[in-house]
Amino acid sequence: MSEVEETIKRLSSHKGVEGIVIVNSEGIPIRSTIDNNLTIQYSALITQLAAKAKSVVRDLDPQNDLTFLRLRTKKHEIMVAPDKEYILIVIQNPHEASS
Amino acid sequence: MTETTGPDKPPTRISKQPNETPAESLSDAPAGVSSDAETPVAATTKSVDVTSPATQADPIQNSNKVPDGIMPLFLTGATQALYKVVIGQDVNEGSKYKMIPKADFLADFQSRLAIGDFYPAKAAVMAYPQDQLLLAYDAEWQYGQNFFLCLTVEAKDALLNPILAEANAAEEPVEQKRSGWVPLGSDKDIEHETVVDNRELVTIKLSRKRKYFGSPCKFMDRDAADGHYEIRTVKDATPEVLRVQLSKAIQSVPVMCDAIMQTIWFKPVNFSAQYESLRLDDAKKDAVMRNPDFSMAVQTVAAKFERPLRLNAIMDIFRDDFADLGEEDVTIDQGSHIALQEYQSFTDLKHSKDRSIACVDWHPAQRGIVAMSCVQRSTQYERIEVGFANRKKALILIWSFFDPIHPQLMLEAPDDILCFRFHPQDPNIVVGGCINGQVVLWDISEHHDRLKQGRKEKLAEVPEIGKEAKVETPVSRYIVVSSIEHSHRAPITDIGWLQKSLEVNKLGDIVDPSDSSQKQLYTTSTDGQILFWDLRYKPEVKLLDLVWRPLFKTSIPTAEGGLEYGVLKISLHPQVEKTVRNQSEGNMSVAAKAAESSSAKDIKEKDEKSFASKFFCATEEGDVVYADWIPEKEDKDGSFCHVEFAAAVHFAPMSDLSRSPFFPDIVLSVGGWSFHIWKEKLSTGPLLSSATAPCFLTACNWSPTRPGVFFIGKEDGSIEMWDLLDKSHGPSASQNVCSAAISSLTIQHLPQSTSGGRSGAQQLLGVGDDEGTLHLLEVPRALSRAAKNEKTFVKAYFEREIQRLQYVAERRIIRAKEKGTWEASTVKLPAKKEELSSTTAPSLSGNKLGDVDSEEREKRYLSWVSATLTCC
Repeated sequence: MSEVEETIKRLSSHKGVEGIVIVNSEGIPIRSTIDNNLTIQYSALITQLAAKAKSVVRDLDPQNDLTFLRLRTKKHEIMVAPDKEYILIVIQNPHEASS
Repeated sequence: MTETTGPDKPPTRISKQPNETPAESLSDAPAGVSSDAETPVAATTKSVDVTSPATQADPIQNSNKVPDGIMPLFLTGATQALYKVVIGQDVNEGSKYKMIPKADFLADFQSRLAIGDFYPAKAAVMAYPQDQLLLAYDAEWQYGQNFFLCLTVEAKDALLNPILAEANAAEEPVEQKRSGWVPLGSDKDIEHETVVDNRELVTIKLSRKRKYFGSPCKFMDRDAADGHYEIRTVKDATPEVLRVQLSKAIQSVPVMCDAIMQTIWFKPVNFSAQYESLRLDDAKKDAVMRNPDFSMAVQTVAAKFERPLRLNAIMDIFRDDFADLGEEDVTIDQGSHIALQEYQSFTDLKHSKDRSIACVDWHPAQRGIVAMSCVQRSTQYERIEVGFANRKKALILIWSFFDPIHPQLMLEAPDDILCFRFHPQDPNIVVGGCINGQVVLWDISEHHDRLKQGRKEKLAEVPEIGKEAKVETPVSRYIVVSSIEHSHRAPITDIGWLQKSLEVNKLGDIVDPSDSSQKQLYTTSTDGQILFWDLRYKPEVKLLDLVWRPLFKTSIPTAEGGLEYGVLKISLHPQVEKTVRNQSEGNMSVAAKAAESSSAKDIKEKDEKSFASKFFCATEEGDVVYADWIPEKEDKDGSFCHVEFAAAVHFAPMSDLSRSPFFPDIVLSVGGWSFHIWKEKLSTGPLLSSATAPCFLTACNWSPTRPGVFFIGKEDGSIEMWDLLDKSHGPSASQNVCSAAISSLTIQHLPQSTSGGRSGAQQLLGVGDDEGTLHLLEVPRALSRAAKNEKTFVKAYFEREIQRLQYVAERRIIRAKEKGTWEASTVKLPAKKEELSSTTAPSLSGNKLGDVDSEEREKRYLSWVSATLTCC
């Protein structure tokens, strides 16, 4: 359990990182560093998006699989890495990071 | 066939011909042999006829009926010769007809009268229309006589015309008479039943040799089976019988197929649609988190994030380099004349004339709205003299860019407002510090729409020429004033809102704010006090009126020389907003945290927070004071700030403090005839000091976009633009803006507007002067557009300055030591301790020139020189 915490702390220490959410395969958040409402929103929406992206990749080539998804918006960058059972979501503010 | 012929004998009936069909012959069967039967019949008839040739043939006598118009006549030989119808000569069976002219008959009648042969026909002959009559030889004695005469024309025609038919008709009537039995179909049956030979009977002649005649016959028995020969059919295995024609039936029908399929019935549901948010309770969460697979998975996955996170920190990959490219060209023309362009100026003839603009502030949300406060240019004594009645109202005028003549709104205050601020998040709240020491609060939400109007509406409001312009500017009265006893005792000189991430509690400790709305503000005044106020003192803002007390009071302690500081401006450290916060920690104050845990992280946080409580003060005495408002733990009183250092560098009351937006620890202080740049935590001296200017410097402001640029406002109404990268010994440009002194300076950078109007970024400098006019100047692009690496250069510059100061400080120590040794070696005098390493105590409180000898004087002079050196 502490390794998980360490990992989260390490990721948060990067410049501009605003939050980290770990979601299980059903879309239920397991661990999060942002407030609860935002966590629930992120977990539900990003799970859907990741599932859709995964199906797109697999439809195009069944041997292929989704490894990483980066969603760049005006204010943030949302990075999603799906695993077999869990999905890790990191939200970073790149303008703050690079300035 | 037998006939009895005689010369005059009537001919017998003609028997049937030999070519007749057997049927015909059968039909006459009852007559038996035809010839035999004929004779007796014929004989009977003849016997009658012979008697009288002249009589008319009786129908009874003759079986042949005499047709109408025909008279049979017997003509004697003499008559025959007369009329040339001799039988055998003139007429015979072939040609039986002869036409005799009527005249001959008439002659005959006259000559022979009754004995003539034609006498019986006299009447008819007379009546005969035509000239010639037909006399026909009746060879068969058909009508009973040997000739007959046609008495009518019709009979004549009938005889003459169908001559051919008569030849055949001669036989047929015979047959027709005979056949009394009409066959009705039974003949066919009989015909069918009769056995008819279809071929000739085969005649076989069997003969025996003569010698065998009469010999005895042998008879024997034999089995019937032997006697007959069977010819069996040979059943051939391979028959050569070919079936030429094959009868086969084909029906073309589609092959029927019967199939059943069942589709899975399910309703497509979005698998992640949640009707209520799914959560795991803590026990399950713990279970999941303890699962070693989970930590493994998280670690493997987290490795993927390292690279992009770092890459984002290195550079912004989506930055539009092309757009940024254009900036390079701008900085090339350094030599070009950089001038501030006058954009607009606001003055109200009624309210702001002859008054000084004490403070200018921009509307935080609305573009194009600026507010200024007008104060009278009189000292306190003058005010007292003038009295309350004659004074003009104290006002804050709010202008819109689109209407430079009429202010949009006027905020009324009890007394002159020396400083004011909009609330950064809720621009409807305006708070101002009054000259009487009170804090005044306005709520302008009802005029919010008016301020929001754009240019078009403003133009529409302009009345037509000819009508009197009676645009009423609404006046909004303050809603809250603070309680008099607890406010400042002197005019409030500076007011500001605390940052979002900063909150102060009653003890002055910094706490984490409960929410991100800024509710606290600080005020300073010339009585040396710094007060922290909270809007939440009462549940509703309106209730604060006259009862508003500050949350926390602190004051700058008196200096060692008995100086009481009158704070003119303070500048708080803009705290870094983001820290990794653990919500479970709650609102614990820093001090308590420090007491509880001593882990490295907490100390670091404490350091960050404690940094925030330090601030710079600009004082009336000309000192720059760097203090910390959090009271020391040992100080029970808690009402005094902890002064870290003070530097007496300005020789007159200071006017302004400005913190660099790029470097939060760089502060620009302006006062008297010079300005200085300070760095926090560096107490040896300012980084940069300017040369003394010919007139007072009254205002200063850093450029919000360029790290090394700042503006100084002077008493002669000119503005200096300094660019540290260009030259640091003098201003890059100086421009005279107005004739009166500049009383306030504020700058606003408007980014590119998305809706209409200006397309580029605009930087506006708001200059308020002593005559009540607010000038808005547009900063040229050269001064507003930052070059790419400008920040690093300026940072490097400051670093160099810091190093210089350190070097100087070090050198001074060394030199002091050297001097001490030199002094000791040459002149035996007690070395004066010189506290040069830190100037914690105010060193300027007048020159201490006491009774000392020349060396002392010299040393004192040297120390004074070194003291001033630290400032330059």
